Amino acid sequence: MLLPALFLSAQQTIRGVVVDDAGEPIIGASVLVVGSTNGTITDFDGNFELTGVADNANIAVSYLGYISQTLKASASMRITLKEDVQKLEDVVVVGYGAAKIKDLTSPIELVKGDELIATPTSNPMAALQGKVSGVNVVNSGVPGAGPTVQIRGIGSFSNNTPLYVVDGMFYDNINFLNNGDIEELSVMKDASAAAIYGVRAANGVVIITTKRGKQNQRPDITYDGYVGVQTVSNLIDMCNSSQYAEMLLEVSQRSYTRMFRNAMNAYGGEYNSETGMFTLAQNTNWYKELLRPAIITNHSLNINGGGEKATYGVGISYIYQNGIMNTENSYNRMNIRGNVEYKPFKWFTVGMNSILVRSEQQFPNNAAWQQAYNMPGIFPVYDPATADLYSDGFASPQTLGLTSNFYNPVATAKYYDARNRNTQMMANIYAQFNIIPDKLNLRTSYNYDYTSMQAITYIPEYYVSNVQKNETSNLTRSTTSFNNWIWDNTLTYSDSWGAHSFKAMIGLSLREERNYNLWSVAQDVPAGKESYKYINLGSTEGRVTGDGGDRFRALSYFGRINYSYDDRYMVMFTLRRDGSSKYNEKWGTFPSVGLAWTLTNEEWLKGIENVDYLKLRASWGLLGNDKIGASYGTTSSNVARAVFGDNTALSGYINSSNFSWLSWEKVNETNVGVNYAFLKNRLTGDIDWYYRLTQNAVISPTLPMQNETVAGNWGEILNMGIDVNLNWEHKVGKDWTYFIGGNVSWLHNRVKSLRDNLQMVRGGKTVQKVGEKMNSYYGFKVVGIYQTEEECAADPIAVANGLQPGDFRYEDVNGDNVIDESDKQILGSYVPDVTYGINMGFKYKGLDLTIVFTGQAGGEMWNRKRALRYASNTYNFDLDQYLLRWHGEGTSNTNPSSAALMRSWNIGDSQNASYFVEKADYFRIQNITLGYTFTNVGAGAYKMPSIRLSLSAEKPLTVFSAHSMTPEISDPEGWDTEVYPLTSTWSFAVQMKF
Amino acid sequence: MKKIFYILAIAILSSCSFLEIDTENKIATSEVDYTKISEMYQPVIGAYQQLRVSGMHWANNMLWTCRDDDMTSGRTDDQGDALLFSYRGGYQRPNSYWALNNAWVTPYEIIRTCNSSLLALDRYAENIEKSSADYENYLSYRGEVVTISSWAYYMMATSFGDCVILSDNSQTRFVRSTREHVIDYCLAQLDSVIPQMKRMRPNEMVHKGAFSAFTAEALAARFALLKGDYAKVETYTDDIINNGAFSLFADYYNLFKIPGKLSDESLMEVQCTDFGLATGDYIGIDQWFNCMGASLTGTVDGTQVSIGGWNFMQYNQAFLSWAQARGETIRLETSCLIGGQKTRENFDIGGSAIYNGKAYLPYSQMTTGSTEWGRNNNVRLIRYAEVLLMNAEAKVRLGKNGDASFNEVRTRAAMPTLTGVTIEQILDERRMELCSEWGLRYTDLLRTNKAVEVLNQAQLVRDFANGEWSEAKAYWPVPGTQLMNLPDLAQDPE
Repeated sequence: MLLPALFLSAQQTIRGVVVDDAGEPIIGASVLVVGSTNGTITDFDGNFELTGVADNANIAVSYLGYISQTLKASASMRITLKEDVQKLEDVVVVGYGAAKIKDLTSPIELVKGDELIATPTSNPMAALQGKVSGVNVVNSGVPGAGPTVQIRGIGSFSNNTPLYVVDGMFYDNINFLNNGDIEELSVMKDASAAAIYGVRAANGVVIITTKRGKQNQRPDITYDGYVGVQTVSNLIDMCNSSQYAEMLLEVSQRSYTRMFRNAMNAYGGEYNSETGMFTLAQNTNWYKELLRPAIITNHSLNINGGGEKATYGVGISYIYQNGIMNTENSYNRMNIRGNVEYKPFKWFTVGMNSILVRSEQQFPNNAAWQQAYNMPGIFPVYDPATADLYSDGFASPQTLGLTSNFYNPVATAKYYDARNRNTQMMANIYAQFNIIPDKLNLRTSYNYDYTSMQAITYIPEYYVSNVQKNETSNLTRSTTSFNNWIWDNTLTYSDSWGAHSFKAMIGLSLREERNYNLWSVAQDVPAGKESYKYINLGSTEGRVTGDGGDRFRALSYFGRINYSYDDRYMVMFTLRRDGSSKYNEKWGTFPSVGLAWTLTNEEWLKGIENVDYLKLRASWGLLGNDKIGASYGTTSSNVARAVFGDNTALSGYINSSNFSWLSWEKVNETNVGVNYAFLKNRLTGDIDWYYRLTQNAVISPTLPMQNETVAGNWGEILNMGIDVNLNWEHKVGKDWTYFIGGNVSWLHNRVKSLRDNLQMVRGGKTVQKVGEKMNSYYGFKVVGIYQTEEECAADPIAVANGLQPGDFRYEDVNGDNVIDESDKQILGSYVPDVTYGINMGFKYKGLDLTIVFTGQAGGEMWNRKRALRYASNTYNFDLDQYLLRWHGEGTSNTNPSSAALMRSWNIGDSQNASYFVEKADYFRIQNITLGYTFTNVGAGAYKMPSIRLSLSAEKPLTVFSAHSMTPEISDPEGWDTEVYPLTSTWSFAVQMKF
Repeated sequence: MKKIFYILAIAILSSCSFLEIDTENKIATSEVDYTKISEMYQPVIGAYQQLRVSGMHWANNMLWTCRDDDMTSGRTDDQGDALLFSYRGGYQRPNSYWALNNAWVTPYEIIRTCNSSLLALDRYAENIEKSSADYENYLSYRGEVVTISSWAYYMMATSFGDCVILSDNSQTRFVRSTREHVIDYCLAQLDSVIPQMKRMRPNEMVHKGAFSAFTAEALAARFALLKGDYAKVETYTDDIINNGAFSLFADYYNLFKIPGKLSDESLMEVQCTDFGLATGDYIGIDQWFNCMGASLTGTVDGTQVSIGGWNFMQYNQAFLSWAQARGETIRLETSCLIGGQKTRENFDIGGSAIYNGKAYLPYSQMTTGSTEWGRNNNVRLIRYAEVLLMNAEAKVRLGKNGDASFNEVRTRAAMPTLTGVTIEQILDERRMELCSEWGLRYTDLLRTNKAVEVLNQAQLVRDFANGEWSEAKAYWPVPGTQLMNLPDLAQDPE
């Protein structure tokens, strides 16, 4: 009898209020007595009341987007919920499983689909530029082209693209996804997070989940769309016709006067017989002739929802991007997406995901960009005089006497028709068995990706000049199909008791990648209709056909153990054992370990003002890179042919005896980091330091005394860096929020060692030298310009090479008074030292404004446009080459004279003068978006939950010093030639929820 | 659920074979069937391909031929560095020029392929009876391959001088051998295969145009000439001449054109074919002819036809004057395309320099529809005319009379015969007959110690030179790239 009395006497009624940081009441927060079903929700004023609460009971208060709290019950309570700025309770996908952010031991960046959807890019990764620290995104202006993405520097000579895992399937890029398809995207930056993907993880992993419905969710219908105009961001100023004439005539009146006289007679102008200079009427700006504004538009419609037992998500999206090159070049893509999950029994779930993508990309002829740089403006695009002769009437550079190195760039752009038509189907089916409810489950998942790529290149018959012509049309058609599958099986056990929580997973994965291509070339295929573009319609003579294929398999075992104690100490182990058919050494083992300590959950740090969250992390892991050609490391017989008598060719073979034993490229990475939130959660962010060493790097240097290269595990590459994220967000009252944040990444990239104590190996365009950045430019360093005849006469180098004032003075590194190969030195590399992003903005009621800046510093690019001058003396000059040139003693000590720009001492292709190396630093306004959100918009009886309208300027301004259309070069070695210009996009977007 | 476990178990058990798959679309070397004797010629075909592809690289030929007083590289912009290898650039010879590296690497590509070809032949031989006809073929094939690699060494020894003897592809030591050692090595190699090779003209070989014992002897004679071993030169060349199978092609103009393909004068030729079609499959030599060629335009059936070469290779004006003073006719017309004049076929020769006519193919001889320089033509590597002149020189040097073979060459060229020819006359004849061919003129200047005098002539120096030729510049420096990759190369040759 005593017990119930005691029990009763200890019962009480508690009342309280739940408020946020700003003291505003939280409506609808859940208040629950721990270990019971006794609970309620707060009312309009944030108040609640609970009866029959035991004296020593704990109550738990939670609200979406706020950090849950558990505290001892008392009669009158005031509970302040902190906003979950860190999103600590959010669940992220971590590879074969998921984890709460608060349990992570490694730096994982989570990007929600909403952040990508309104950015006018054809590829989701392009929208990440400047958003995530440690992720370097180099965009391309070519319609439909994906960006180059590097996570934490470059560590491989062969491949640096991260692994993309889309709903479990492996990809090299996500060009096929629409920004609107993505639910969320997590970037695994360090080795301990990525190690679960073992041999594919060396360049980091990006895990993507597509949109899907949730249990008991009413149909959520959204439409997102935008229309925008793209314009060129930057133009290179070139010499006009008269300046060009001045440059050449300065060098030789005798050689060049005739050409300008021809130009004057043909297109008008004046000749000043006193100065010997021409003022020419014709002034074609070839870049402007090649450019136009172009449309980009995207529409996507998604419906997600779910009931008690089933969830679904379907969507369709379409993007069209026209190119800013003034000819046919564009990209369009349609994505159809669907997924369904059904849970017939408590112990069994089955589901399926699929995406069907159809895309068509019409490629520009980028050769025209280089030609536009080289071509002087002295003749027009079209010449009425030749219009009768040739149907299109393009003007020929040769009529004025320009050499065979000159092409009409507009004609080059026009007479080119290359396109890819892709159809891609990704399907995934899975089943999950909950063997012990909420504890032990088995999941098996089979992913299949089929891609069919049809490429058509057609060069019509045309005639511009006797060098720019194609006498018979030709057509190249190729069909390539990819059949890739992955079968993943995982067994997961999770449990918790007291303050301990434990999770373990083991898995087995099998994977195969196959591709096959068939191609054919035919001549004399009729022009005109698209439907004529068949090999069959061409001439049977000279028809060539070929095929090829590749196959690769992998088998992996992996496991992971997570343990956490009292939300204070976290530890994670992973181990993956990978087998690959590619390597001579078939098996590799990739372990990792991660530790974390949440200091703010320690008693001694609790309640300290302005320290809201502090977590220390440390991790180590080993990753592999198998993105090496499958046939490397084998000796082979190659087909050879030789002629024996008229029209008789015999086939034989050459045994290539270049053999090398390849093993896994391995990345060894240590990461130390901290997550923090200070000053009432207004200042949040994280800082990570990493040391990432690629061992056994596969390098393919030119073999001694050969032009052949052979791959071997011959190098060590170091990437060391710091990634910092810092965000300040402040909610002032009910309506006002403002934020400012930034991320910056420092990278120290070095070639650490090479095989056999070699100091340097050469690739095609750059060198790898121990102690220097990867892909370094290597050549003579310009230390000045010879100013006077006396200076030349006094310098044995100038005497030996017949140099004149205005020529480069190269650094004589070894001081032997001879400039030769031994005087070449490292001149820079495209790998930047620092990349950064800054974002700021505010929200006031429905109005919001965001501005994002990005930039990079410390990298160099190779101005190949200028360097190509070695091929012709009469190429045009950019304006700075004219304005800043040396033209008499003391006029310049960095820029050569016009005559020097025609001598191989300065411009020779083997000299690699540092004059052609330019800073690739840039600062950019990445995006400005102004939006307004209307809520509960009435449409008759129906109320739409929200409509958001926004205006945005994407990359409106980029500031840089290089003589280039863009500092972003897709070529990893930073060679600036034939680069499609970068675009600025001005768009209007609508997002509607129904 | 049990089923899934079974499947997983099977997957694990069968995992070993799951990863064992063959490389697609390749035949592994280990899978070549060396018992198929009918395929024994296939590795030899590989060596011929390598000779065509690597040996006939346009940039090599540009550098090889621009070293003497008669020829130079004509471009000042594109490949302007080549000028620095000729008198126009004062023989600067920068070791950083890519084409220099190419000229080092490509002969070794030939040698390397020949080495692997010899290994493959030996594997076939393991399956052949020693006394059979197949074994004779095997020995003869070996000879063809050795001849090809010796040609590559000849180009190395006459351009770089000291160079590496790569007798085994797995060799890891790359110290250079002296030029003398290289010459002796090649002579020994050739001497060992000459008796085993077929004694017939290349155009009579089963594989038409394949190299015969006489090809090897002609090449050996070249090496012996470098050594100054005139007795050997005489022995080799006498053997070729006395065989009687070879004769000079009567029409010197067409010797270098389609009618002269694999003529009875040909001892060594790189063969090409476009199978009689202007488009499609073409087994050719890339830009070799373009580099040698000039810019020609003409009118055929009322339409303008242009054949655009690069204008890279040009004769010195002094050579033209010298040849004219000699009274040269057909050889002058054949060798020199003079800018501003017309070809025999009435095509205008563009530019203002003198271009290489030996690389010229008239439009009328081209495969219908083609306007590509030299398309479908072969390249002459060793001609019987050279053998005759080597023979004459050897005889005179040995105190004998060389008139017979000397005058055979003169007569064909419509030049009056001479009696009691001197060394000077023979060297001049070589200069004329063999102009623009493989740098033979430069090699002659070196071996007769005339280089200093001839290459530093006032006429050359006055016009262009920035520096003088000296003995130290006789051979090219080792390319910088090679020095960096292989520290061995910096060592003194042995």
